[in-house]
Amino acid sequence: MIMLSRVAYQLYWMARYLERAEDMARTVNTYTHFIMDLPRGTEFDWNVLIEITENAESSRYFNHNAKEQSVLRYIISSPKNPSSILSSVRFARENVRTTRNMLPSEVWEIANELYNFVEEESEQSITRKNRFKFLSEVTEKCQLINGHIMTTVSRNHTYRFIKLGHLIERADMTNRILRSSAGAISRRKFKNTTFDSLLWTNMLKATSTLGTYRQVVSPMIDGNSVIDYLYRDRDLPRSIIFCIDGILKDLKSFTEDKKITNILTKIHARLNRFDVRGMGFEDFDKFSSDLQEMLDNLDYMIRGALFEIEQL
Amino acid sequence: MSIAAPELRPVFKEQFINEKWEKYQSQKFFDELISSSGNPRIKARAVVNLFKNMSESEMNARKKAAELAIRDMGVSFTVYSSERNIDRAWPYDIIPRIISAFEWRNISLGLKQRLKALNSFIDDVYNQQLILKEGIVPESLVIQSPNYKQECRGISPPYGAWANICGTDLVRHSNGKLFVLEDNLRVPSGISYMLENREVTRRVLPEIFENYSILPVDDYPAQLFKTLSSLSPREIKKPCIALLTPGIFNSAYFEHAFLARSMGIQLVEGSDLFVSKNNILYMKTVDGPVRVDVVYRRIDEEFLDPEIFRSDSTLGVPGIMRAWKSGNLSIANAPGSGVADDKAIYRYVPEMIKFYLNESPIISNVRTYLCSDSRELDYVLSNIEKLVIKPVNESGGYGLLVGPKASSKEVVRFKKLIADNPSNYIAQPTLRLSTAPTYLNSSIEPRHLDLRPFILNGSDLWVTPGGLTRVALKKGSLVVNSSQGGGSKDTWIVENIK
Repeated sequence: MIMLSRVAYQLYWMARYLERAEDMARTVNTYTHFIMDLPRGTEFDWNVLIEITENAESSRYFNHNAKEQSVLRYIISSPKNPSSILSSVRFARENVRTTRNMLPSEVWEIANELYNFVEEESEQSITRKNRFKFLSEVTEKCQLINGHIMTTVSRNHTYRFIKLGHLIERADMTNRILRSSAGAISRRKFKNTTFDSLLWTNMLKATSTLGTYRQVVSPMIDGNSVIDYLYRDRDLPRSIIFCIDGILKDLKSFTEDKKITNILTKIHARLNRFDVRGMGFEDFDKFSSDLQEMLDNLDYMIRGALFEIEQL
Repeated sequence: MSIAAPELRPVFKEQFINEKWEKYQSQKFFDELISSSGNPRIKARAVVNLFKNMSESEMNARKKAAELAIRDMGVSFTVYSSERNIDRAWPYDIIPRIISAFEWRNISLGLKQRLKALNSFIDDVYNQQLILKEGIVPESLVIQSPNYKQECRGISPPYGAWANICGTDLVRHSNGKLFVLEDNLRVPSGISYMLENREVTRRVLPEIFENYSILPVDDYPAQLFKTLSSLSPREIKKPCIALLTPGIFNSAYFEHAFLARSMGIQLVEGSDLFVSKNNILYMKTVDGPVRVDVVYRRIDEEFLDPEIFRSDSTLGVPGIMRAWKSGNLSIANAPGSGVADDKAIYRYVPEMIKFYLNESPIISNVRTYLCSDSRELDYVLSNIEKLVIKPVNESGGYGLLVGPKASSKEVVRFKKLIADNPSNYIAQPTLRLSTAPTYLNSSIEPRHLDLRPFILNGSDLWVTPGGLTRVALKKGSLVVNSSQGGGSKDTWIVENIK
C-alpha cells in the first residue's frame, strides 16, 4: 500500500489531537468532581490543570492562584491555547479533512460533528452547570471515532500511523497528569491523608482505570500503587509501558532506524528499573520530567525518520 | 385489502400545486420539460405527473430532505470572498432535466468529433503547424496567444491526445437546437456534482425512477481511471497515478478528494512530489520515493512548474516539465492544451473538424465575431446592444457584457475596453437559453440552464451519459455559475419511454 509521508504525518497528528482532547476532557471532569468533594480551604487549586497542559503559551498567561473560570476557559475553549479542547478538535478535524480519502466516511462525519459541537458549545461549557455534559460528550464522540477506526480500518499504514499517534499522546498525557498531581500533593503544607486517597482515586478515574485497578491491584487505593500501576502495568492500555510496548511493536514493522530503537529501549529500561517506593518527590519529579523529554525526543525522531523522506 | 385507514390527503393543496404546473409557461423560450402548448413533453410526462400529485408540503419535505442529504454527504463548494473562504452546500433542484437517449446519441457523437478535432489541432500547432500554413486559422492568433506555450513545441503525448478530460458547455436556443458555447480544455470541474446529484435524487425521490430507464452515470471514475492508465509511459500492469490538487483552499477541493477516493489513487500536493536529476517524478511516501507515471493535474499550468512558468508558485513541482518533456511522465491535461480553449480559437473549431477529420460538425458553434478583425469589430461596435461581449481568456462567467441587459454606462465602458485591446474580445449574438421548471419558494418557475458533459480521450473516446446541468436561479438571469448564485439539476438520459 502506498502512503504519502504528508498523509501519514497528518493521520499521526489527527490521532494525537483526538487522544489529547479525549484525555483532557476526562481529566477536567474528574478534577471538577475532586474539587467539589474537598472541604473549603484545602490547598488544591485549578492551576494543576494548567500544569498538565504546560507549554510555552500557558506560562505566559498564568500565574498561581488563577480563578476557576479563567483556567477552564483556557483549557476548554481558548483558541490561543494550542492544546485546549477547542484547538485539539479543530486541528484533528482539519487533519481528517485532508486525509479523508484514507479513512472510513463515518470518521469524517463524526469528526465534523464533534467540531461543530465544540465550536458551538465550548464557550458556554466552562460553567460548572454545563461542563460535565459537554466534556462527557467530547469523550464519547472521540471514542466513537476510535471504535470506527478499530473495526473498519484495514491493518495497513493508515491504521499503524493512527495507532502510533494515539500511543505516544496517551503516554505523554498519563505522564503529565501523574506529574502535576504528585507536584500538587508535595506542595501542601498541611498533610491530610484522607484526601490523598480521594486524589488518587480521581487519578484513576481521569484515566478510566479505577475499575481494573480494584480488580488487579487492590480495592485499597494508595499513591505508590497507583503510580506503579499507571506506569508499569503491561496489560493496561492506558499505562505508559503498554504504550511503549505498542510503539516498539508497531515501529518494528516499518523502520529499522537505530536512533528510534535506542530511545525506545532506553525508555523501556527506565520504566523497568523504576521503583516509586522509597522515592522522594524530587526523584519522582526528575524521573517524570526525564520521561517527558524522552517522549518529546521520540516524536522528533519519528518525524525525521518516517515523515521527512530524503530526495534522490 | 388495505388494513390501514386511507391517508387523509389535503386535496386543496394538491390542486394548488397542480395549478402551478397548469399555469407554468416559459413564453418565448424553449422549455426542456413542457412544450409550448403547456403539456409535458412525452419524455417528461411521468415525472411531471408525479410532481403534480405531490402536495406543497410534500414538495417542501423532499426539498428539505435533499438539503439534508447534501449536508450529510458533505457535498460543498467554496466561495472566495475578500475576508475568508466559505464552504457552501451544493445547490440542487429536485426537478430533474430530461433528455432522450435518441437525441443524446447524436450529441455524444458530436462531442467526440469535436474533441478529436481539437486534439488534432493542439498536436498540429505544437508540431507541423499544417493548419497555420494552409491559412485556415490565422497564425498570429495562435502563436501570439498567451496560451500558446513555446515549451511544448515538438512534443506529442500518447495518442496525440493533449486534452484528456474536456468539459464542453452546451446550450439550447429557442429553436430547440443545441450549440456549443465553449470547450473547457484546461482543468474543467463539476463532474463530482453530476455524480452526487444522481445520488441525491436516488435518496430523496426513489419512486421517480419507476417508469424510466435512465442511463447510469456512476461509471465515470472507472472510465477516467482507464483513460489515465492508458497514458502511462511505462508499460506496466498498475501504473502509478496521482491527482495533483492545489490543496484544501481550492474551490474544487471537494471534487479532487472525491475523484481520488473513487479511483483509489493518491491525492497529492506539490510538496509531496519531486523530480530526480534523471527527470523522473516521485512522490514521497513512508516507504521511500515511489515513481509516478501519470499526473491528473487540477492546478493551472501557470502554477505547474516554477522552473518554467511562474517562479513564485508554491503549488507546483520544480522540474515536472522536464519529466514530462523527457517522456517519463504523462500529465493530463497536457500543458499547453489551453491553446485550443480560447474564445477566439473557438470560432475556428468547425474549420478544424473539416480540416482534420474531413467531416461536417455535428453540433453547431455559436456565431462568433473577432474584435481583432477590423470588419467584424465595426459590426460589434455598432450592434453591441444585441451581443454578448466576452474576454478571450476568462472563464467562470466573469468580465462579460450582456448587451441587451447592459446600462448605457457599461456599454460605453466596454466600447473603450474593446477599442483599447480588440484582440482580447469576441462577441456573440445573445442566445435565448432554454428553460426548465425549477422549484423555488413553493412555486414552479422557468429558469435558464446549460449543460456540461465531460468527454475523455486517452486510447479511446468516451462521453458521460448526460452531464452537469447548471441552472440560473434568478429570474431571467443567464448566469449559471455556482460561484455567482447558480443551482444544478440531476440530468437524465432516458431510453424506452412508455
